Amino acid sequence: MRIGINIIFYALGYLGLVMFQVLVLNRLNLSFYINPYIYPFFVLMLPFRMPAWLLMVIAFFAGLVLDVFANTASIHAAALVFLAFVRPYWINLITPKGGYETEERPNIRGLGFSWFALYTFALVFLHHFFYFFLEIFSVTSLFSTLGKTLLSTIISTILIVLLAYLFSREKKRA
Amino acid sequence: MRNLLSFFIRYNSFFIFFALEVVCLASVFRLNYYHKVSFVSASNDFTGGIYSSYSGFTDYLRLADVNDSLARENALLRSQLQSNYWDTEVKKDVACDVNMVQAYQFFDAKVISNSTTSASNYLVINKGSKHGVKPNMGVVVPKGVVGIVMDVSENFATIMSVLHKDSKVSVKLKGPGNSGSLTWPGGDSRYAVVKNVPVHVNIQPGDTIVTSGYSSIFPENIMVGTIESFESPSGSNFYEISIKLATDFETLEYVDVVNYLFSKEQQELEGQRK
Repeated sequence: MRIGINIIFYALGYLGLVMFQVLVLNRLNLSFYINPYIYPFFVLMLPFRMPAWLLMVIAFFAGLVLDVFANTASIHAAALVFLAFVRPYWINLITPKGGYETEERPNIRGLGFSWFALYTFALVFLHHFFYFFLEIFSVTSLFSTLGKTLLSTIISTILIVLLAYLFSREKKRA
Repeated sequence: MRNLLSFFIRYNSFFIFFALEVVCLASVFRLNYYHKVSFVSASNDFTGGIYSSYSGFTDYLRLADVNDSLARENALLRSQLQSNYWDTEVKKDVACDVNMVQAYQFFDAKVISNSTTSASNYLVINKGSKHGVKPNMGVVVPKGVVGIVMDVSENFATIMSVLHKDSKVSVKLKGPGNSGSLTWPGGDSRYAVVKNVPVHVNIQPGDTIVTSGYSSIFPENIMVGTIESFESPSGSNFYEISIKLATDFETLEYVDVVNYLFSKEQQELEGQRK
């Protein structure tokens, strides 16, 4: 029962994220170098205990949803699967002192701002780099890809951290 | 055998990662980008519907601008009529001849989604196969070129913008008539690059670039842009010309789809020699 509610909760949450992404962020057209993507937040927030294979399969389908909207073949799916693949290793690497015993999922209030920011920044950076590299697909424009990745990652991380605060407050009230 | 099996189980996450990436990349690098992965564009009608209703809401905010552009477009279309007709008769001794056949048809469409900041930009318009839109048709605005139709569903069509890393449009210098090819290197949506113009041609900043009409996609002499600057790389016989695009991609609202009525015939003829 609880799992069922959780699934619905996650699915609706992701739908909201995708809508915000395609109808607002993708239409901002700020600059060639600033294309923030916040939908990886969904994969970032999945429970710690979820097995790696399930994480990647979910990421694959979540990415496809965005690809359909953005008309990008399956670049988003590829980038999100990459993020899901790296996530467990990165979580192990940055284990805080108390471990993850107290938390079920990455929670910015429970684990602290600096942990969450580090967790998000690195994974989002890898995701963005993978995405922009595939999108342009040339080694000659590597520096412009890196610049694009860095600037977009900074904006995305700020947005995701804000979202994380919003999300955890909602949870407390419920 | 057992060792092999336990090897797979031990590193299962890597193999699943690998398998999923292969699926993704295979569809990304399909050789022919005109026919995008079928399972992604199959739902074009669904996503198109969402974009369309969202666009219906934002339209109210820009009514004044849109009216303006429609009026201008009407005027332009009226003045274009004559130039869309070709003379079919070889004139021998005829003084007055009215035997003309239409070569290009234009129909208008509304842009319901547009991007300019990615390396591969696309537009979605609200006309589809039901209205006669087919892949490989050209898309223009009164002021300039926009792109080429890629995928078509019943009510919507996806357009590969000129602002796309794979986009190539055949263009020419308006005066001398030398042809070149228009590409977009990424970055600023206002500028593009024309290549393959030989260095012996005399060009100046401010010169006009128009479509060449060599491909069966765009009619001849559609405005593309003006020369901003140019350089001739040492060791090359061709200019690298930076042009300012006439089309303002940031504010596209209505576009015209070009239907070249002889497209099939021309392609068949060209295909015979291959």
